[in-house]
Amino acid sequence: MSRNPDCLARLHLTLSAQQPKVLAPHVPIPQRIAKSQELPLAPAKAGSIVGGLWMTDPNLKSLIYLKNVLEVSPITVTPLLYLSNGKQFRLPDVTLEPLGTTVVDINAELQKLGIASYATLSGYVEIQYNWAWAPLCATIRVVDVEHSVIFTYGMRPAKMANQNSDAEPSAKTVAKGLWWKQESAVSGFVALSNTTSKALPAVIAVTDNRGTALGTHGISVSPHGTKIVQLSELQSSPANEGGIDVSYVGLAGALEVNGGMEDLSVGYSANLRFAQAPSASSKISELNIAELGLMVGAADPMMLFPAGTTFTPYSVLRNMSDTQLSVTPTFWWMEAGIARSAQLKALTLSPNQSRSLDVMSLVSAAGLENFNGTVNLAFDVKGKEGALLLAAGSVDQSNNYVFEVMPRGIGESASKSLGHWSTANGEDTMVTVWNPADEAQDFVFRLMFSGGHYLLPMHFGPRATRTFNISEIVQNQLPDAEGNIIPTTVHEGSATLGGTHGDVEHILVAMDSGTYNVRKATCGSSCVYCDGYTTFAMTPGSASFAVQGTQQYQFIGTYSSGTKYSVGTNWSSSKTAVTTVASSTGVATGVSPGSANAVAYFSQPLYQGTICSNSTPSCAVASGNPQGGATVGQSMTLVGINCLANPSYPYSGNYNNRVTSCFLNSAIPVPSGGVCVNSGVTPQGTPKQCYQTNINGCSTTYCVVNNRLADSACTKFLDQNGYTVSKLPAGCN
Amino acid sequence: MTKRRNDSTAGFARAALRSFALALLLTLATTFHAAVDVQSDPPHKKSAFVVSISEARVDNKHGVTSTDCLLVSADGRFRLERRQQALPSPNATLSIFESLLDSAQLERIQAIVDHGEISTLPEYSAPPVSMDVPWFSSVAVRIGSGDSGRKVGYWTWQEGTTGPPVVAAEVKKRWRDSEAALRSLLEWFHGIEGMKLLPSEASPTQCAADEP
Repeated sequence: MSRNPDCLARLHLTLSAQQPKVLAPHVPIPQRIAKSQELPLAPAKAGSIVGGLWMTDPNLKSLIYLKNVLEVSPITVTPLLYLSNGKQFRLPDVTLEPLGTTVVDINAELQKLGIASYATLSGYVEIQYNWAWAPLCATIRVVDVEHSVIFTYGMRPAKMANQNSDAEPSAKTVAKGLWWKQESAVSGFVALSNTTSKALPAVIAVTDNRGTALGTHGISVSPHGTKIVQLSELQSSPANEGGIDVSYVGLAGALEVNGGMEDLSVGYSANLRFAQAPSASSKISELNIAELGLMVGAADPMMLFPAGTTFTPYSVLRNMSDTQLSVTPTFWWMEAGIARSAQLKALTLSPNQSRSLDVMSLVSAAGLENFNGTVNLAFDVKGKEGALLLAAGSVDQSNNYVFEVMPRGIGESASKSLGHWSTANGEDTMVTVWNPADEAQDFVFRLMFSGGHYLLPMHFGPRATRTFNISEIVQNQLPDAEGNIIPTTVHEGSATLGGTHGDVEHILVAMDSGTYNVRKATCGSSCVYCDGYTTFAMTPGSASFAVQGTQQYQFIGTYSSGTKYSVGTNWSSSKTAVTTVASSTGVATGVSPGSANAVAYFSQPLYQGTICSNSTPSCAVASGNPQGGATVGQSMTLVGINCLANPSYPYSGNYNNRVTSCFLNSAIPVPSGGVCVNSGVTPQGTPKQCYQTNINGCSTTYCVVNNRLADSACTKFLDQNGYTVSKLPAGCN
Repeated sequence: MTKRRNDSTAGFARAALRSFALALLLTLATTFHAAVDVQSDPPHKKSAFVVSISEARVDNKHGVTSTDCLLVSADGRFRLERRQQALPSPNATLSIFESLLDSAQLERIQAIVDHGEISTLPEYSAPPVSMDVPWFSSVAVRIGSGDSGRKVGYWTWQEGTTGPPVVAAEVKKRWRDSEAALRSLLEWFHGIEGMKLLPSEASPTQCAADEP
């Protein structure tokens, strides 16, 4: 990489705040619904997630990392392996404890099925579950320890992919990818997995950084099959980066597109990045994306790399849209505990253009020639929504140690979770957390493991970054606020980064992680996903209550962990002449008979267990003004009782609203053969006639209630159960 | 008298009919010609009202409850709402009619409510009793609107086998007096009910009127 003298001129150091302040979220923290009201959970339904590319051969091992995101329940899932020819193998069910993790060894499972674990096989994975939402996060890791090669693939809900209907989707789908060459011997491959039950023809078009065609591959992928296409044209191309377009006729997700780049001679490997191309009608938007923990200079001695190991960061961009894209990069690094930044001039990417950033030149231009440590590269992006595809990481001078980072969209969220961490067998998980706000924030990093959890409070100054290894936390053996430590026998688990007031507190944070093994020279990026709400419901959806009566409304969100929160705020009434609604509590009070709506506001993050796949979304947020129906009725008082005056309707109550002169009759379904008895008193204080039967030694007494609720038009009762039934003696029930 | 009256109610209805037969005939003759179909600007929206009449009959023997009400505005427009619930139906059917009285009719109804007998009636309050009887009826009349408005009325019932409701003698007398004083108004009301009126699409109000 050559240093560009213009860089100095383009660089604007912004060590003090010159841009608009980015504030941390300051929104009310939703209150958890009482446990007694949390049940029932939404009805379970069969679902599945699909994805990944798994590969086995004498050197390649494939592992499925599973995490149960539920706090309230264990979950049992069924992994299905699809071979490249579409054949399906069902693996034994796996039960995960609440928030638990497990690893499924594909080679070992194939061995159990009578297939040699060293057979050269490939395919994709489906994980079936029975829950109201996708209750697990899954990552597939393909490792060749012999050659120090590792690939990590995410999984996503199969909802989009299950296109087994007879309907022939006619829309063309294009998945766009990005390739780059760390060095000249790097080769690449693309794997297409057909998740449907019909053969899918597809075209893979490879272009250079200017969009000039380098090669085209036309293939057909059999139902549930997988085809791996070698991109030999990469090695002969003089370009160092370019694009890959995979097009097919079908819905998005019908083809699972994955890939990788490798040079087995030096142990280099990196994932090819693919994402859905934005549509022609996509809006122009602004987005912030961060690449966290890019290593610069000498390796951290704590990470135990061989002496003399130095790292160089890389960052490659592709504009996937048909319009120009503007990207403004900013470096962020820590200096004496204070966040520093250097903003670069905006870059312009023409449609489909790919470009590698000369990161080291930019680092030097920022005055960091001798810097050893990690930096964050943040991008202010203006262009079509979802137009920018990025790949980034750090590589050592031998191209053997590759630390890929997953570019993350920056946005307000609730907690974020890490699907799996490991300190087993020489591995360690490195986590980088960045506070992108211009004000301090406090977080809690919660490590979950079999048998317990550990809370690590973390304070971040404005724009501060912290990088740490899980092994440090385990080795410190410092009790947390609850007195917990992580037993040294624990070597794996998952983690969640949330606000100090709980997972549902809104925070502004970016987090990345990778699990590396110095001895094996492998590092796989981990699945970091957005926790959030899976469903929302107004409770009650509608209600009837009397003038002066009250009704509590709640807008309840079910969090991905299974817990429920009241997320409605700023309550109001659509018709204050009918009912008022207390702004902060959602308590409605009837004013006059009629119909109205109790209206709430909410803005909450959505659960995205798919963020571990190759895309750069920030956590999605749902907002709106949900409504609950309110029927304010008129109070009715018991004024008369018919007991055995009519053989067809032997017992009924007459009700009246004396202000409106509304009269209604409530017939009570009673068995024949009863008698009238006095039991209780009427609202006037006179004896109340009830209806009583005596059958098989059981006395059953039916009594109309004293007060009911009728609609404003005086045509019907709004409440239910206008009578009581009591049975004697005990045991008659 | 309408057919909705059952045998039990016929006694008190016949007495009323005898006393005011002539007045009723005159009233109905005028009203039939004077009622004009009006579908816009319901009376409760604009004008102060002259009178609101509500009559409910609960017939436990036949399982039928009917609640009819009429609201007459000062400009002659009127609204009639008729509800009937017949067990085992849990709901009442509702029919709404709107029409217009001519000035003569309006003067007539004004004269009835301004009559000294009615204007001196005591305020009507609901009975502090439980009507566990074969049938009972309630009539409530609101005359005028706003603070100057008054509510008068009465209850009647047929005493059943479970014994009569315990109603104080003075209350019984007050209701009897009210029934007598309001008889001409009730006859006029029944006359309106007997008219052939076109149904209205207006929303039900239970003859409640916005205060002017």
